[in-house]
Amino acid sequence: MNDVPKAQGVATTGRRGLVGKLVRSHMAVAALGVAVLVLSLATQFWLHVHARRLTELRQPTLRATDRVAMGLQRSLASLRAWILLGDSAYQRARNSAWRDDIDPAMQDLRRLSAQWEDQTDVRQLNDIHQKLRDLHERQWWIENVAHELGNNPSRQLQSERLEPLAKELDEAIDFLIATGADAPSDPQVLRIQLMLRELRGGLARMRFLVDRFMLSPGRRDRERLEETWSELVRNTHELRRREGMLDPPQRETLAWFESQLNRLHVVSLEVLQLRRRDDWSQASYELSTFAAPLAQRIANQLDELAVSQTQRLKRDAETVKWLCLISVAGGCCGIVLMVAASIALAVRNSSRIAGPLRNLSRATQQLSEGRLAGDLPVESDDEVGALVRAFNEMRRQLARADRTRKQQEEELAAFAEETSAINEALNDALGRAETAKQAKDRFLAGMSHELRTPLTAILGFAEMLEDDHLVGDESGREAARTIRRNGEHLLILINDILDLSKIEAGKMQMERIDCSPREIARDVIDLLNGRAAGKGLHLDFEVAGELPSLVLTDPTRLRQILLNLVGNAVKFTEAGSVRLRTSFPNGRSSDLLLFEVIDTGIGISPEQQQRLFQSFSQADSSTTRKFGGTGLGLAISLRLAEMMGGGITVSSTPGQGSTFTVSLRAEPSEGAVYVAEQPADVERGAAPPPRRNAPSLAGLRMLLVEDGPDNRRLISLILRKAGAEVDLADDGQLGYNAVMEATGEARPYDVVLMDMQMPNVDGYQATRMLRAAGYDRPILALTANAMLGESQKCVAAGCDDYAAKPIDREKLLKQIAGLVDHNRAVATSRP
Amino acid sequence: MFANNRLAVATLFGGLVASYICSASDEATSDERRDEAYLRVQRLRAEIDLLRVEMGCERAKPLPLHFANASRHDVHYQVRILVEKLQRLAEEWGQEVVPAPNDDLYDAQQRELSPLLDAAQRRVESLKAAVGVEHVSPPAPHVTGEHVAGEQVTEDELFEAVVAANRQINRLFDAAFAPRDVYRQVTVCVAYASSLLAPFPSATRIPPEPAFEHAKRPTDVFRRLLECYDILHGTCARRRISILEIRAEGPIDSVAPSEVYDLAGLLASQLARLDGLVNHQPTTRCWYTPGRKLPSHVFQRVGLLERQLLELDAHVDDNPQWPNLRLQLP
Repeated sequence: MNDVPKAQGVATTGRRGLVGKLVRSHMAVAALGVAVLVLSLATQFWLHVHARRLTELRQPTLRATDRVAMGLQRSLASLRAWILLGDSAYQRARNSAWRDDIDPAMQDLRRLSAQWEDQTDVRQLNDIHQKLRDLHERQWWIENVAHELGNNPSRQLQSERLEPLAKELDEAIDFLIATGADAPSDPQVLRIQLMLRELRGGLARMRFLVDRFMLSPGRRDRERLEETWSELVRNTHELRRREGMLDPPQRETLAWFESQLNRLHVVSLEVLQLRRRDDWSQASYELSTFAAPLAQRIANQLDELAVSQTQRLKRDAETVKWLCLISVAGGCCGIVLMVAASIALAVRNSSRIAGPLRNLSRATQQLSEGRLAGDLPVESDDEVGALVRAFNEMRRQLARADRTRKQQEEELAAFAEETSAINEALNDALGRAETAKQAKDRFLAGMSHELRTPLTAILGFAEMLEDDHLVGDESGREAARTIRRNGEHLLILINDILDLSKIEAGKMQMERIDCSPREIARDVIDLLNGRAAGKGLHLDFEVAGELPSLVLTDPTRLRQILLNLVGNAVKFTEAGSVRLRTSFPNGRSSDLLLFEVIDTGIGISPEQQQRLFQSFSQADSSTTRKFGGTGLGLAISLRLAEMMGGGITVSSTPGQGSTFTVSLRAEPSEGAVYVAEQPADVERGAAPPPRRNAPSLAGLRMLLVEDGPDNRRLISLILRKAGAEVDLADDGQLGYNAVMEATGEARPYDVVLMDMQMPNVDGYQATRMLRAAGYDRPILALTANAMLGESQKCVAAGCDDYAAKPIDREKLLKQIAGLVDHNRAVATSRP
Repeated sequence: MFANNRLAVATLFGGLVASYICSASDEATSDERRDEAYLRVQRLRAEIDLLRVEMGCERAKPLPLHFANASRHDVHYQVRILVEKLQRLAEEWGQEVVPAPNDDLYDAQQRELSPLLDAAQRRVESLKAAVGVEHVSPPAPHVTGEHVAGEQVTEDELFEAVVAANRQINRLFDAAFAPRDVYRQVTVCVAYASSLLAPFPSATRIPPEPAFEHAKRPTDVFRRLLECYDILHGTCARRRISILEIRAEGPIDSVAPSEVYDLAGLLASQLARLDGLVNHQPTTRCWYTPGRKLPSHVFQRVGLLERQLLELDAHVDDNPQWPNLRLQLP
């Protein structure tokens, strides 16, 4: 963004710029929002204040007030229960009421009272506090006295003073009775005894009356007590009048008795008085007289306090309600106002800002459609104005560019026309080249066929002449050998030329099948052993290190390379030895397969080595003259080795020998085993293999379909010599007819030998017709077309195997025998 | 035992109320009366000793306590106790119950000892008659070891004379003072202490009682009461309030409940005086006679009193204006 140049002298920043306009627009909307928010916030603040006062002052105050009141009632109830039942659990309950309810709640109230507005409530609370302390103390005293002796003064007086005194009086009477019992017959003494007993009875009656009064105060009891006491006094006086009959101790005792009677009377009356007055226990009295009224006053004050606080709570709640309403209504109004103002501001500002942009957009559209002829007017001094200026400049530049483009398009059209003509010419040339190439291919194929077909006859008949002693004298057989040798040379030459042609034409295709490198090497040694032995050379085969039993490569081409190199070595070595050594130098970690052909021949100079692998080139012209050859072998071998992922190198010392090293990429087959050198691998100067006899075809019926009369004669001769019964057909249709006819006569042919290149119905068509007609016996294809793919083509047509022309007699007979054996085995295994 | 508890309590506190209602007499009159009172007390002591001899009781050993700084209030209070004890003894001897003088007026501040001494004299006469020595006069009162002849009698000497008389009487009772009497006296102290704590809004007037401890002896109670006295004395000393000084002289190995009762009475008198200073009105609590109590119960109650005095001490510390200003709730 910083790289964007300022629009030609126009200030793009500052208050007049687009940014300034946008900022002002947004700030206006934001200011409105802030104003609404401030109002809302103020309302919320007041709402918060009142709500907090409700939750943190009013409600806790009321709760604490209730708690004090409840604690108060609980303490009173516990105290009453304690007075009545004397169970210490109620003492604990009363203490708990103060400790857990009243005191904490009062502390809360006093803390909260700091926030109360009304000082009357505060004073009320202080008064309540003081009263509560008094009540607390008074309750303690009541609780203390409730089950003490002092709780009932009348009973206390009775037990502490009346009863001991009555007992002493009883004992005094007992003493008087006991001391006067010595003369019971004296009537005076008897009278005194009776009076004493009446005194004791009166005494007992007084105690009984006091006891009964203690249990249930009655009005008559006091009168009876007075009567009893008066009687006691009378009897005592009566006794005092008769005290002359008493001895001094009795008189003293009686005097004491009389003095204590008054005391007994006073104490008894005091007990009765206390009992009547103290009808209830001191604790109950204290409770009902002081504690309960005080508690009631406190409760009333708490009620007043609660009422006052409740009214304030209601007022606060009302305020909160109104503030909520105001907040909601104000918020809604604010939102509506803000939205409306925002829309108005947005529309106004957007029209001011977006108007020029809309014009610019429209102009851009027109410009893209090519309808804009002139510049846009610059209406503002901001970034949009700068944009319009830039747009105008761009429009002018586009116009210039458009003109340039049209000019270039015209030039391009002319160039295209020219190029089109060239292309047409090139296509024609390419067509012609393709036609020429196809013609060349056809020529090569035809050449192969046409050259091999006569060679088949030549080599075949020459071999027959040589082997079957059809020629009587030696000179004739020598002539046959010469024909065969030159024929074979010609065949090699043809094959080499064809191979080279195929390689250069890119038609050479490599197979990639499982094969044994050891077997291929041994085959080569076996094949050339005879020739080496003929020159007195030692032909050795050696395996260095471990060699996989099977590798993936093209066995035919490998054999061709080795035959060429070993053949050359044998050819150019006059004495000594030729050794073929094979190895897998990198072991199991690589797929590099090496073959070294080491000879002790004439050697090759470095200059010769440089052109050694050129086509039609040998070490020197004298070599050709001396050793013959086309000079294509090494070139073909090198090309083949390169196509197999490797190459051929040579090291040589003239006069001492040469070493040709073939390297190939041959991946070990799956399941291949690595085998070290075996005794059979080392062969030195082995004798040429004995010529094997050709297999017999005696008893077999065969049909030979061949259009060439020479080959027809040669092959039929070979077959008949092998013992077979041979019928002949000139073309495919005749062959088909013959097979059908023989099959219809239940004398089917055991084998059909079918030439594949025939006029009219060729071998491919005839084979397909036979297989379609149900002929299921072997058909052996005969073809002079050595091009790759021929074998597959024959098999695809229905042939079981094929034999390439020129015909190798032995190989042909073996192929036929093998086919027949296989067919018989299959027929036997059929159910 | 009192014939009427309310009567006894009213007697006890009536004097206290009166003690600060009336203003003090002039010093000369006071000294003159003190000498006279001293002679009367000594005469009473002689009469009581005559009774002791007639009743065949042993002479009481002096309390192992040293007193100092006695006030007229203290003397008045002790004379009242003397009257109470004589009343109790008279009751034992079957004498009529006679109300104490100034039953409704607490005369501690008035410092009028004569009515009380008259009442005491009447009871002694009555007892002499009951014992049968009404015609026997004791030896003329003489100045004993507490007072140096020829000098003015001090308040301390008068006080010690009354205390000695009180102590002599203890030996004459058939039913000696029991722990419940001490308990009641300590409860009186508790009431005064509660009243003293009342002006402090945050004070707990009646703290929780300490746990009950078994097998306590009167000696333990006596020691604890002395500790209470020390606390109170310390509190008053910080506020320059003069109260009676009580100090143990020698080890306190064995004391009788009556001696504990006397000490509790001394403490009650000091608390009553302070209550009058602070609250300007008598404490009108309903006193009660407890049932049978063990020294352990008394020890527990003295523990409660100790807590009250400690609480008072703490609050007095926090309020320098005590006892002159009446504290108000905030």
